[in-house]
Amino acid sequence: MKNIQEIESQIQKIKAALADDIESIQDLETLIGQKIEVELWGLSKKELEKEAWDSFFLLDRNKDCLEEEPIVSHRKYIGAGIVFFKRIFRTLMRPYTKTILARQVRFNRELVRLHLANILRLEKIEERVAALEAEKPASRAEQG
Amino acid sequence: MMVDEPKLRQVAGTSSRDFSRLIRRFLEEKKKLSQDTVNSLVLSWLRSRPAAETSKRLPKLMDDLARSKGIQSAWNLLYFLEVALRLRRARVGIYDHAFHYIGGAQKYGSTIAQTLQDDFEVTLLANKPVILADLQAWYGLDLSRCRLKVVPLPFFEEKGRHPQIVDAGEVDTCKDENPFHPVSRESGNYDIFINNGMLEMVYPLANTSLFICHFPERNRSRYFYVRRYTEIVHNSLYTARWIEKRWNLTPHKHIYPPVDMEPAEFPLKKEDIIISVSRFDEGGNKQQLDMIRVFEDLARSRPREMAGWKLVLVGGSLPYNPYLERIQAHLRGSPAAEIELKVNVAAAELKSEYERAKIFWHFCGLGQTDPAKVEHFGMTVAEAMQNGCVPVAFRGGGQTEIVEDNLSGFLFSSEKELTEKTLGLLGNPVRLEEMSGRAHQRGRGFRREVFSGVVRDYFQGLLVSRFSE
Repeated sequence: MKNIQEIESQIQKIKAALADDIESIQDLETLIGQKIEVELWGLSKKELEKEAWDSFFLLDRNKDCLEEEPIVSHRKYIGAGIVFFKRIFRTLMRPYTKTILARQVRFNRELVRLHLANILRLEKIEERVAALEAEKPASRAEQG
Repeated sequence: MMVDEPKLRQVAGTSSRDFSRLIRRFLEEKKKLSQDTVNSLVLSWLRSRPAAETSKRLPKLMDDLARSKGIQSAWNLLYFLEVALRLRRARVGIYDHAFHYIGGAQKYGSTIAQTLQDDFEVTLLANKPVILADLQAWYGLDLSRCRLKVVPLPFFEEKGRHPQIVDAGEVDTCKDENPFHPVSRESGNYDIFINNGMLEMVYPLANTSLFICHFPERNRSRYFYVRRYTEIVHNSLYTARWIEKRWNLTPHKHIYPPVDMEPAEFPLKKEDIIISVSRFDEGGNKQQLDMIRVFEDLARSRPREMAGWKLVLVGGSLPYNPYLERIQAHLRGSPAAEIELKVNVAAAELKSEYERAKIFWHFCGLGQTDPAKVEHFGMTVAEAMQNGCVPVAFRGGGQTEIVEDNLSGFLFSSEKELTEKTLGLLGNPVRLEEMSGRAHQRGRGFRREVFSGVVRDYFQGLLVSRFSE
């Protein structure tokens, strides 16, 4: 390496610039730029129940893929131009995408309903199992 | 989709412009570009291209990285470069939520700190106030080149909770936010983060992270991040088996705990004493009462062999210990047998007790079904062996790794086996002496110097493998 001092001073400059930003972020997921996924294997019944409901609400919120996301650009100078052209492109393509996405939305809605139905069914089965387990010693005593 | 790493590496050596463009494209396309790959590629690029060229493009590259992989990723790259380019020593953070307590696991972490303090910048991370001088006094260590930082956890500071205990078992993973996030957040300020407290809820952010497991106490929960650590270090093969069984993870590195109870000289002048050294656990897990019963039975049934022999029970206890009170009440009721009780003795007295005793009994684990209640290693067994006490220990947990049955001591699975093996020793002084010598030799294999040597080699290896191209 030819000039280690130059690299070092560059590293220190970047660190100084990043230090305030990194210090101000307390949320772990923002820091690592991604959601911390939960591993489902090994979770307790209560934890699985929570995960199932969290996942259901997330699906429910996002089922409508026809809902448009805002168009933005992070580029400084050409950003406005990019946003303008993207808007035109999106308007032109809307009739075609709508046909495809409308089917997807129907599919998503059904899937969310099915997911909900399954969670509720499972809850009812669990209630029934609990009731049967509670009945068991009593019926045994009667037989005895 | 994976990136074409050889291609990137080739471009890194030929054109700075193409390299930074390619990295940006891969990041924008959300291709799988691990932190290790980014670190290694950027280092290779910096090494092969002129400094004027790379320093011009480095800020933009950092910007791209921060935007697509989070600001921590850019920070980690800078930390990596500083160490890899030898601009500073690597920073090691050793976290233990119980550093303010005396304990075997905390001794393990503190001894790692002592071993590494000359080659690394070592910081001990605690949750409750503790001072380095205490750690040094408790474990007989020199930690003068280490720093200490307290990271308070608001969840455990709330009123109504035990003021001295940080217990992960109190966290309701369905209701409570992960209370260990301040520690996870702090872990990003080190090149190597060591989680010595077995707290699986700490999410590591450092470039290299080690999870030291003394035993996998809890099952996996919503906040289970052990898989995120670079490597898992385990203290015994017993612990390793349970890590696989309970967490379905394969640990990487085996380092036995440091044991430093060696006498100044050996052989020692021994007396007819059977010793037991164990905490007087409130739940009676160390089974001192059973030992007393067995000793009394032996004294009654074999008076000739047992003549002159004494049982000495040494151990620490918290005040108001119902189990200890039961032992004391029992001894008051049967003063005939030669049994001595020594509670909370000073280190020097403990050493002298070890030096005098010929045989060491250890029952912990006998009749247990909970694997956590079996010795994960068996520190006191190794301490006794260093002093030439012949161990007669329960065949289970880490003890099977320390004691070589019939060679440097005995293992037993039942009280009948224990009494047979003990009587065999009492009736054969020559064998007892031979085994004492072998126990001493075996015990020396666990001394602090051995531990420090393994730790030093391991971390030097990590430095080479994790902080280079």
